[in-house]
Amino acid sequence: MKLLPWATLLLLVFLATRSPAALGPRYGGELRLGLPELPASLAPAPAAGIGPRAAAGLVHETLLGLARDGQPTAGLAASSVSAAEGREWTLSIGEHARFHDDRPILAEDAVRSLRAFLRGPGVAAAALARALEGGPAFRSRERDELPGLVAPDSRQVVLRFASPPAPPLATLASPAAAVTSAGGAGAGPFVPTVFAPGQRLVGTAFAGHLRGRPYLDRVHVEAFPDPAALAAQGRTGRVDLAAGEAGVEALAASVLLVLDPRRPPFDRPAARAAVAAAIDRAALMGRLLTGGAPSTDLLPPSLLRAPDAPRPAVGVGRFVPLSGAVTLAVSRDVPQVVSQRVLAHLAALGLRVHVVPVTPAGALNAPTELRLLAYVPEVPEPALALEELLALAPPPPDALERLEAARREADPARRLALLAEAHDALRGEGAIIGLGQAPVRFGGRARVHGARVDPAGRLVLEDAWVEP
Amino acid sequence: MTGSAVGLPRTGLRRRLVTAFLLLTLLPVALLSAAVALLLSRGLEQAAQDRLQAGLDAAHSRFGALTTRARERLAELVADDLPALGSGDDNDLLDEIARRRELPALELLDGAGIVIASHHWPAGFGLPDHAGLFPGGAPYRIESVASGYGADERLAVVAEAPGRWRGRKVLLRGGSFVDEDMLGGLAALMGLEVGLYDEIRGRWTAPARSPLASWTRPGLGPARGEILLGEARLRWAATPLCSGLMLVVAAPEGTLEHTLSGVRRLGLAAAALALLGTLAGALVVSGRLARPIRELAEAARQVAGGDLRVSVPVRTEDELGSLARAFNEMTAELRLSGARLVQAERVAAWREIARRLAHELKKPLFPIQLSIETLRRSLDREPPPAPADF
Repeated sequence: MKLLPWATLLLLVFLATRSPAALGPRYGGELRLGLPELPASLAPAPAAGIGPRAAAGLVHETLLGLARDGQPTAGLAASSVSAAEGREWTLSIGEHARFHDDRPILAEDAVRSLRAFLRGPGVAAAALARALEGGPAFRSRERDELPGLVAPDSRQVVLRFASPPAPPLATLASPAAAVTSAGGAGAGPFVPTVFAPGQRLVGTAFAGHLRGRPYLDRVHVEAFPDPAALAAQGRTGRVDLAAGEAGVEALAASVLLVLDPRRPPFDRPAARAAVAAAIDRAALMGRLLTGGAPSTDLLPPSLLRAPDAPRPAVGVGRFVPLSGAVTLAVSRDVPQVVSQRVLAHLAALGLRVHVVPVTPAGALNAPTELRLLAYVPEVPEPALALEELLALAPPPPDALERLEAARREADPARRLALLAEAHDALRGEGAIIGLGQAPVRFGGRARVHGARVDPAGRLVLEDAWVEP
Repeated sequence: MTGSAVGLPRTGLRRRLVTAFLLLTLLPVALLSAAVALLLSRGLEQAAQDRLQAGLDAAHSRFGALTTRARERLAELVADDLPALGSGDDNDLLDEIARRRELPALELLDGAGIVIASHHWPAGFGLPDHAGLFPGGAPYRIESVASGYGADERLAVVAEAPGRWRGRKVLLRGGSFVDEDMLGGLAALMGLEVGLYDEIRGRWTAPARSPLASWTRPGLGPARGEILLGEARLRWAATPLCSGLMLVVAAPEGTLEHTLSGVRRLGLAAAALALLGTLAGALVVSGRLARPIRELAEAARQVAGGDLRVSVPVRTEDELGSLARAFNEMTAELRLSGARLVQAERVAAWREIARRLAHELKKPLFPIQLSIETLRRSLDREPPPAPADF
């Protein structure tokens, strides 16, 4: 009778040793990560593409994050308090927040970083500057004073808006708004010890990270621009996690085909409608891209639940034959098989298509008749995302009107409805064609645990650990 | 007076002799060289043409073999693979069959020409087959092949076979791609440039570095010709694989030109050597010929200077020897004549002296004779004066 507990205990120990994952997270170990690209600089910037987003997530930290429901979450700022009917927000920087160089993060660091952010590129910076008191003049460099952004003491940052922002402070979650020291040190979970621009990054666990030291000792990141080479790295185990392989994922990207409505043949609405109707989204996202979701929506449903679009009549495109040669710029974030399928559809319509792979950032403004991109918003917030989409192609006036109305709307439900109408107007123009939602995924060896992809399509390795 | 001053160049005759010898040699050597170069050039030209023709034949036969192989493998596929078809995704099944049968190009079409599955263009399922065709039901097609983010248009050698796939009538089409690697291997094997020109679409299928790929708008009407492509001059030959598709082989003319230029260089070197030999011989022979004449001229100059004792050696029994001998006889005769002349001159001189002496003797006697005659006549007319008168 007394043997049973001991036998059970021994069995549990045996099983635990045979399956280390059952023992739970452990500190130590190294993780090799393969990405399609790495940025040329580790300075905070609006990260377009899987690689720059992942690198920013490893090295930098923002004042606030965004939860899946779009609400701000704590970042370097441990708390936020609003006043003046939501026109003034005071962010309190966490007491133990430190940079990689072990200096404490002070409010003046945050102010300096945000001032640089406000004058930089990106839709979030433009939106924050538009809303802050004195922000427009500061962004346009007419004035250096920025009354809307002050640091009353070493721990507090105060933002004053002309009108209450909706949703509040989402722009601060942009990777471009990361806080850095005067010397450029970040505050993310890993300290960059080796960085070869565009090629390689080695990050060492940052013991002073605000959410605690990551489990991993070190992360080796390497860029493999050739998708086949990257996939081979993941399949052969030369990297523990490879972008694009099945593993951890989030349905964070919208596959969009952007047509230039100013150039033939897409200057004709019928031609744009023919392309939209000709593409078999179910085959594209269901059969070719495992885990994808066919959709005509331009944004992930987690961001904006758009009204149901009129179902495109499959085959309409066959009755509007197109001709001529066009260039299709394909973002390297788009799975190759998706690009091939889109090309097949366009060829079936009669177009001669020249395909040019470009970087995700390059796909946003490539001067080609067609662009195919896996769009992940800079900030996962519907108004900001729609504003970003409106920059991809000449926006229809009604979409702009509704977006502007949504900015002024205080009621969240009504605001979302206006945003959905703006989305619908943009979709109806036919210059941006939604093909479906694609997962942002990282996979590889089974011995990696705890990695996840956040709603912004960013790989999070803070809680990742590897089996010995 | 020196020799040159009297206008007798020391080397004029010899130079003329050397020039004459060289001129006499140059013409035959030039003619011989030209003849040899022409013969060799024609021979090499013919060899190059034969090589191109052999290349065309070999490549043609290789494409024929590809067609046969595609037909055989497709027949095996229809007979063995389709009846044993398992369940699963159409593309996956086709991929597996394509790998097993080593058919890089393999696709399955329904009766309406819609692609059910494709091994080489997986993204094309459910869409109409829009491959580029050649007239006349040729086994050659331009197929879309998955490549990176897009597709490549590649030439394929295919066969077709009807069959049944999951209980429905289908058409299977499969074969090989005529790609750069395949053509590159063929080209390396034959030592020639090999390419296929699609006259309908105006484009080449050729190894990446082949100069043929840079040949825009080729007119392949004649079966052979020459073309300058960039820095390379090519000698080419072409034959149609099917209507609209030309098989072209080419060899850089540089190879033939190199050989020909080598032959030319060799011929020129031989000719130059012959001319040098001729020059050396001419110098020796002309020296031997000119030396007696030069000696005669020198001796003549000495004779002219009054030295009649000079003589020239008689080395040969030919005309020059006779001339030398005659010269020597002449100088001997001149010496003799000189002696006679001196004697005659002496006699004449004595005569002159005698005449002058006689004249001089006569000159004082005449007044004496006159005085005597005057005295005689005086004596005859008057008595002689008294001796006191004296």
